[in-house]
Amino acid sequence: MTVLLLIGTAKGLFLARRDRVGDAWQLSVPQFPMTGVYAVGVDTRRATPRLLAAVDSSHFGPSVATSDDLGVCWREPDHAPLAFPQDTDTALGRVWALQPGPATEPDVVWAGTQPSALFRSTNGGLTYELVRGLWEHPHRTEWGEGFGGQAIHTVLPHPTDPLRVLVAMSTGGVYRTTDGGETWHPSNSGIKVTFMPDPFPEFGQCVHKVARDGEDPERLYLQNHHGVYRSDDDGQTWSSIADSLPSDFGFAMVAHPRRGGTAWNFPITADALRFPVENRCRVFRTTDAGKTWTPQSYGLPTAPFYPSVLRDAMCVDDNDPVGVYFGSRTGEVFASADEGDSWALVAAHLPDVLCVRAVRI
Amino acid sequence: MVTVLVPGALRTEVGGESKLEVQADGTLRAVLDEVDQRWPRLGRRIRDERGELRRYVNVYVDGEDCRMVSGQDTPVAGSGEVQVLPSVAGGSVEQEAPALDGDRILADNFAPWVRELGLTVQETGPDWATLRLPWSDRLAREGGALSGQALMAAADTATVIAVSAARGGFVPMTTVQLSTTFQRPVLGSDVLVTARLTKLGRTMAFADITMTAKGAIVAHATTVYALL
Repeated sequence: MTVLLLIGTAKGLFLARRDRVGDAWQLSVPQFPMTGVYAVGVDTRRATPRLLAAVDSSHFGPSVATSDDLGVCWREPDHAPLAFPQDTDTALGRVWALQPGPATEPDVVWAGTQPSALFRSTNGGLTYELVRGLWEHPHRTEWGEGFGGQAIHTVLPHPTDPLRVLVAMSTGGVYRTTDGGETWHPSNSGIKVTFMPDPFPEFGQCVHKVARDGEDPERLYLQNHHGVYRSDDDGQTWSSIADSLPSDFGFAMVAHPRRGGTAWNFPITADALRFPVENRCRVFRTTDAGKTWTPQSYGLPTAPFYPSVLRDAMCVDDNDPVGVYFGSRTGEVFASADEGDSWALVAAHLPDVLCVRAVRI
Repeated sequence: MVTVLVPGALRTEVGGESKLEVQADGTLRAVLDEVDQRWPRLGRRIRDERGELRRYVNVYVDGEDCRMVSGQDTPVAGSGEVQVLPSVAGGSVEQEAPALDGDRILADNFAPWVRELGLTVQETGPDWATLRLPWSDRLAREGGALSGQALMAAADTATVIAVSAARGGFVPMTTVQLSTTFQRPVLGSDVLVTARLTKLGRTMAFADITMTAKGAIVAHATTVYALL
């Protein structure tokens, strides 16, 4: 089963490809060299998956490119594919998330940006329009800035109800709409903050990542800036699932695409000590919706390991068994073809890995 | 007529042109507005959607940094010259190397049958070059797959461009050795041919060539060249 792995780095996009488990990975030359690729997306609702890449030149600004031939040719419209309307007096800083919509809306693609805003495409991700309902939310002026900037980095459309979408931002927290984006409500009940006087504010949380359960769409897993949570009611309320993790800090969170209760996380020691826990390269998996987490490190480096795994630098494919992938800030990418039980190196010595996405082709 | 000088990194946005002629004059803003209108792919890389100059793009009017004059209100005479340059402070972009006109080298130095392959230079770096071999039914052998001879010629040609890129221009050279392994058939798609020099000496050059189609490696070659 051929897998194509998109690896967005600080200096371009790499494509790694493997035809069969056990084969060596073939790594492309960098595409969009010397641009930061902060988000990639794969739209599998087409006969040939469409690849989407958010490319960000430090000189010439951000843009979104698409490829319909698995990364051989990329295209961009002449006019900016994603830009703030004139009346907002705002310029796009960066695109942080590219998320295809549900199967019932085959041409919808969502984009989360810096500054915190949500955009929607109705032509498969070629061009985007600002979602005014969220931009005009009265809380917006109070949304803050995390270490990486102020951005919406997570967009989770509901798989069967196109009116429901959840976004997460740093800082600001989780917001949900149940009317297709017209109105939005903060949805952080139970998520603690450690950097404000009120530990349970209505909004303002620094959420790092949210993933939706593969079986039960009402169930979500959330990595917070300290705190790991689960929701069983589509994000309305949250409860801690951090007890059996070695640390409640981290960035990445991904869920099994089909089997309920299964998710992966890469714990980091603490906000003030951003090294993997015990300086060991370990992924943690739960198969009981977060009650217990088990380390998975067979095949991963055994020497002290210091780089972080960023919020979008972990992903799964939809093979059976599921493939799991992650990349580090020191340019190593690892893959597991057996749901994390064993790992092998895909590539090393790349620039900082910002995001990974895998697709079966 | 105002002349706009386009930096190497942005020439792909304007069909490879290094100079553009615009009608508008008076202020830099008017010149850039016309650039936006006629070459939007270039315009949006110079200014953001608010119309502000991007932070790490510098624009010189007749040699003066517009930020030191009046920004976009800087006057531009009818015969003025506007130069766009990426600033050194951008952080992650390498300094611009003198642009190598790879397509010119292809046109000037190769036999007609090689030129007929339709190879184009996609990109060059300090010690590498990527060429595109466009699909053509004429290059297919029985069974419909791209013939190996075409791939070998493309690999050979890509090495010449990579050596030229490393030397800053074309130098006479001749192939001493070319070894190719064919790993997958190519059916109906373009091939990207990347030649990377593994050693460049005074009289010899060694290169490693990877040929990909649709992201997969289709062939791999090594070459040795004598530099004349």
